[in-house]
Amino acid sequence: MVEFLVARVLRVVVTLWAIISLVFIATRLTGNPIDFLMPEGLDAQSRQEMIAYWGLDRPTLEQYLLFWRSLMTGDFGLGLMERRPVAAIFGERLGQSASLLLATLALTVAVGVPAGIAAAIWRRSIRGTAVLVVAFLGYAIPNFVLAILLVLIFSLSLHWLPSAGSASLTHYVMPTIALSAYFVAGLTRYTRDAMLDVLSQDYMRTARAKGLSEAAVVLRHGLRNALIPVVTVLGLQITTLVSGAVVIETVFAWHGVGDLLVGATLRRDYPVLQFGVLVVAGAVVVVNIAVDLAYAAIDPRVRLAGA
Amino acid sequence: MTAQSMKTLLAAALTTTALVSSVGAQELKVGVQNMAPWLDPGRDFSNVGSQFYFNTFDPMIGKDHTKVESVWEPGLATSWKQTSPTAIELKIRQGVTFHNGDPMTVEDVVFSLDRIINATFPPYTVRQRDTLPNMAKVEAVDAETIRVTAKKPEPLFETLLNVQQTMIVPKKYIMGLTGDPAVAEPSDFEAFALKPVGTGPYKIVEFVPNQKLVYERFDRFWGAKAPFQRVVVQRIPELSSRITALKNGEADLITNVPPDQLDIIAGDGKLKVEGMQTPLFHVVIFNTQNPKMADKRLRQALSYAIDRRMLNEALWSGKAKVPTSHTFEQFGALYMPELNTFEYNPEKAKQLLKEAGYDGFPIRYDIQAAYYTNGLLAAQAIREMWAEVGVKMEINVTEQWTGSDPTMMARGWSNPMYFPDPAGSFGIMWAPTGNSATEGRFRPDATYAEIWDRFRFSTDLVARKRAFAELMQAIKNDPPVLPLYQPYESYGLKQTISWRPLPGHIPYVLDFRAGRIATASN
Repeated sequence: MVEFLVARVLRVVVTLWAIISLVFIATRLTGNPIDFLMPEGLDAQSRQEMIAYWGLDRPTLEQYLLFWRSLMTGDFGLGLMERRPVAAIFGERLGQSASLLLATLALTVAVGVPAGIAAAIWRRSIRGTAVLVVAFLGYAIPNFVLAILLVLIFSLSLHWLPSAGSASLTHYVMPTIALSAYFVAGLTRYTRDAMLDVLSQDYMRTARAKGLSEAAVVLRHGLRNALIPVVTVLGLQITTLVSGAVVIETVFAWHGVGDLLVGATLRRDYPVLQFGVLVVAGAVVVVNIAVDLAYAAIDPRVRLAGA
Repeated sequence: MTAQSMKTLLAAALTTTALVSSVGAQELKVGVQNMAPWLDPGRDFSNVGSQFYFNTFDPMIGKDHTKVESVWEPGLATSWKQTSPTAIELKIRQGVTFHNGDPMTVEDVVFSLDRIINATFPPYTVRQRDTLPNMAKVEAVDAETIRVTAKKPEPLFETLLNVQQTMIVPKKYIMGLTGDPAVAEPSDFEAFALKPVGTGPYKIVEFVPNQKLVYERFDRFWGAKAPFQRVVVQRIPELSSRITALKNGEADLITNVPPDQLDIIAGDGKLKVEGMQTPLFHVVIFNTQNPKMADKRLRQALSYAIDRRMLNEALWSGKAKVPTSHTFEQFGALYMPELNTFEYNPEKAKQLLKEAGYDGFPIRYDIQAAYYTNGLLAAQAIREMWAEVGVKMEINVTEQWTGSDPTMMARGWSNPMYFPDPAGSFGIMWAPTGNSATEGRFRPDATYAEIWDRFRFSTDLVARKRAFAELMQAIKNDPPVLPLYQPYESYGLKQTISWRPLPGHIPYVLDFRAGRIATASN
């Protein structure tokens, strides 16, 4: 276990270094941020002075070394546009993204797992087919189309729900549903398939034979064994959502990480981009490790070895 | 609980929330396309930031913004007198308090102006160059009077002491923000831009960069009290989301509504639209220094070939304004549409192309995809118009600024009015020391520079007018620019709100001061 973690952490550090270096160099190759940060009409001398003020007049290698030196002291730099620490800029956005992510996860698990179990148990009835059809629709409909439909119904027609911002709990309803639909559908199908596999196992017959209730059979013996693919899907879902749900954020004027990263890319706000990529890559890596650990917790047969 | 009662309860809960959030009397909710990344009127030149300063800051010399021409009024100065062609003295208003409680003194005024005039902080140096290059120094004469001295005779003292860049900020507060409280460090100015404090009718109580701004009425404001207790400005970047927020009652006023969406809003009985031909030109610029573009007859021809009235009809439903010269109504006596610098004449274009020996080489036209409303569409239409006279155009969609690129040939751009004088719009871009000349795509000669100096520094209005006419003749003769139109800038708002953009402001200002906005309910 310890050996596993050490090996994984080492690999993570190398991965993150490679990603950051790539982003650092690639963004600087595409041009200078000044055209996006200063309004029109800047004279040539002022242009040079502003580039120098941001430290972008130095050779790329020097900037790169400076970047790592300040990183070592926990200083991630100032955003070029907002002129404040990138960690603070991200802190603001991350809170809004994380709360939406948690709401989405909660809804996905709360609906997807029971729906999957139901579809497996009802596999030969019309009810099971109905669950699958709904899941198929959820899978097929792009989230922004669903988002716009929700807005049309609940904001423009019924005036029940607010459509822009994240000021209250009611603001969460539509973005959460729009983001979850696809994942609920996926999770329903995965849970169903995994449950179908498990339901035909000998130990299920044994469990029933020893007189357990159907609920105990399905939940304790069935679901637990079906959880591995479910956890995999959830892991993938989190990594997808961590980088922000750009389209949904745009539709609902949600000031999350996706909006920030897209804006920073368009404006070439290097420090924000570098930190953003670090955060997203770090989160993906952490989630992957957590998924591996969850496998071991769910299934004692899984042994974690240093890879 | 039955499913039915659960549903009823949920519906009730949702409806209540919706009702509660729509009550909020005394509060104005605004949905904007862009929120500023920081707020400091002194260093800002952007269309985004300029929306927000006028509610929170005051200039020394005020202006009647309901009038298109400049009518000066007392601001933080109660009176002023030009003591020589190069000096002006101003009496400061007594009893003015900053939002943090500090009284405003001559020290604050001197500090505010000096931080730009003798700038050491690079973002201020930029403004010193483009807005206040003629100012030499500012000093306190006594506890109530300041004197501003210019290098050359200055006809624009009032104008320049009215601009956003010279609005008054608190000295002690700024210097105390970081480091040594007795020194104004760059980090103080950066910190101020995140926690701005002024003397205006609204103080800023919450500012989340790029996201949200909350104003609150400042009860100790020296003038008429602000009409709203709170104004919440929220960024809603997507157009359809802004319109939804307006229709759903989440916003009372939204900005940046393009012409093709006006009917959707106007068709809703509870909503209306307001708009104005904004003092800003969308322009086509030419790189006069690119050897391919060097022949002035070629550039004249390209200019003559563009039917700007048709562009206005097709892209702006005729609501934009097609100028005859690089001039805005806001210039007052210096508004000179009669100069007729730019016109449509395809026959003349063809003839000039023949004289120039144009051999059919393609002309690259650079344009940003979505930066200017209708910018790409205009480029496509211009391509057809140039084709009519036999010129081949290749549209190059790029997010890169190519104004200093020697291979640039033609490009879509804009020329805003930064202050109401040709020096504050034409001059920023086309003065001998302006953007275009320093970037090398426009090479004005010594004669042009001489005319410019006469125009800029004559204190005699007639001499200025004559010199500006000469400048326009020089532009017509060897054109580096063609103004296409003044776009029509529109807003969507509730029927119950009386507000409109005012012609006396620079573009995009959201003026929520007393007398400028009212609601039916208050």
